[in-house]
This record gives sequence, structure tokens and C-alpha cells, in this order.
Amino acid sequence: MLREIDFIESDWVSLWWALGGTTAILRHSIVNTINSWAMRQLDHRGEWTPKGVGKKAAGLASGIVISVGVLAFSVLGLARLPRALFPARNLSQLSWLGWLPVLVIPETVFAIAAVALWSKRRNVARGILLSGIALAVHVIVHVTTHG
Amino acid sequence: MALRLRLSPQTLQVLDAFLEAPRDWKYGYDISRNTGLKSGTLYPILMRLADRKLLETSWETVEPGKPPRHLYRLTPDGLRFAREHFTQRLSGSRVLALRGVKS
Repeated sequence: MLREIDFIESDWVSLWWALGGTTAILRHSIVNTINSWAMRQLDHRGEWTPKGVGKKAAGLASGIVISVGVLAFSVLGLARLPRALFPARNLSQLSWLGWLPVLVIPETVFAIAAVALWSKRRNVARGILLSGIALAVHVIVHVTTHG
Repeated sequence: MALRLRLSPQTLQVLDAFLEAPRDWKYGYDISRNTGLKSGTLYPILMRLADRKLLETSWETVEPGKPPRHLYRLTPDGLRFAREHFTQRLSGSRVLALRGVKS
């Protein structure tokens, strides 16, 4: 489908064609992945026997809970730390300082924790990664809408 | 037919586009221009029709060194299927038109 781009006259139409084609491929591969996963959950009699779904969900949920805890500690605790450490300085002028506890520190902790847990506690690591992605998306949306 | 096919208005549009010249191979972009469907809508339909053996696909090599272009054509089953649905819709719309005249 992406080969058709060579035969489309306008650049914009080609771009939309490519985006649509990529979406179609992505959707098709997601559906195939879900189908093959569901087929693997069927036993030899063709009955639905989800393997370790509860365990995976618990791992994912604990990863999310840990991430929320880290984020809360960072936002509520670390945000006040610079003013407590340097009360004489006028830190409110440093606008980038505000991003440290709400984005930079939590995201760094999430990345390190996910890498460290990936081999032994993969589902917890997935939960942490998911939270990291959610936080990043939230910040991007916030910055684009509020400037 | 072994596999169930959801016949959305877009799928019917694609089948109608093939019915215009049922023996000809068609490119995805040409079908898109004929039907007005975007690639994100068109290709899943073409894939579903091909999965159900209603369409046959082929690769056309235009120039050496360039990737081939995909072509689509109705299979004999696909042609029968498309004609059946076209006739059904036609008779359905005639019935509706007659009812409109009577009322």
C-alpha cells in the first residue's frame, strides 16, 4: 500500500495516504497479536484458560501504584526541598526548577526502575513504564494547551 | 462462505468499484479515487476481502530495483458475491421506491 505513494500527484495526499496505510498496518498487526495471544490461551479442548492473567494484572497494578507513590513523593516532598535548603535565594525565578520534581526526577526514577526490574519483575516494570508514558503524555498535553 | 464478512457501506462501495470492470486488476489508489475512501479505511477492507478469498492479489513489478505494486481483482466467488449483493440492494431499493409511489 505504501508503494502507491510514488503514483500520487500531491505531497499532502501522499502524506495522508502514508499515514492511513501505516494506521491500517498497525491496526492489522495489533488485531493479529491479540488473536494469536487469545489462541494461546485456549487449551487442547478449545476452552478458554487464561494463563496467569491475574498475576500479570497484579504485577502491572503494583507497578502503577509504585509509580504513583514515587510521583507523589517527588511532587509533594522534593518540590519543597530547594526552598528549605536555600531559603535565602530567590528560587522562584528559576522556572526550570519546577520541572525537576514533577517530570525529570520521576521519569528518571521510572526509567531506572523499569530497566532494573525488566528481567525479574517484567509486569511491574511494564506498570512503571505505563505510568511514565502516561505522565509524559499528560505533560505534553498540558504544555501544548497551556503554553 | 466459511468466514463471516461485515458488509459495511464502505465494503459495498469497494465491491461496486470492482464490479465496474470485474476482470480487470486494480491498484489500491485507483479504488480509493473511485470510491473516495481513504487508505486507512480501504486497505483493511481489501485485506478482509482477500482473507475471505473474494479478492485475488498480485504484485506488479514496474521497474527493477523498485518495490512491486499490489494489484487486486475479484475471484469467481467474489464476483458472484458482489453481484448477489448488488442485485439484492437493487431489488431492495426498487421495493422501497414502489412503496413510496403507492403511499
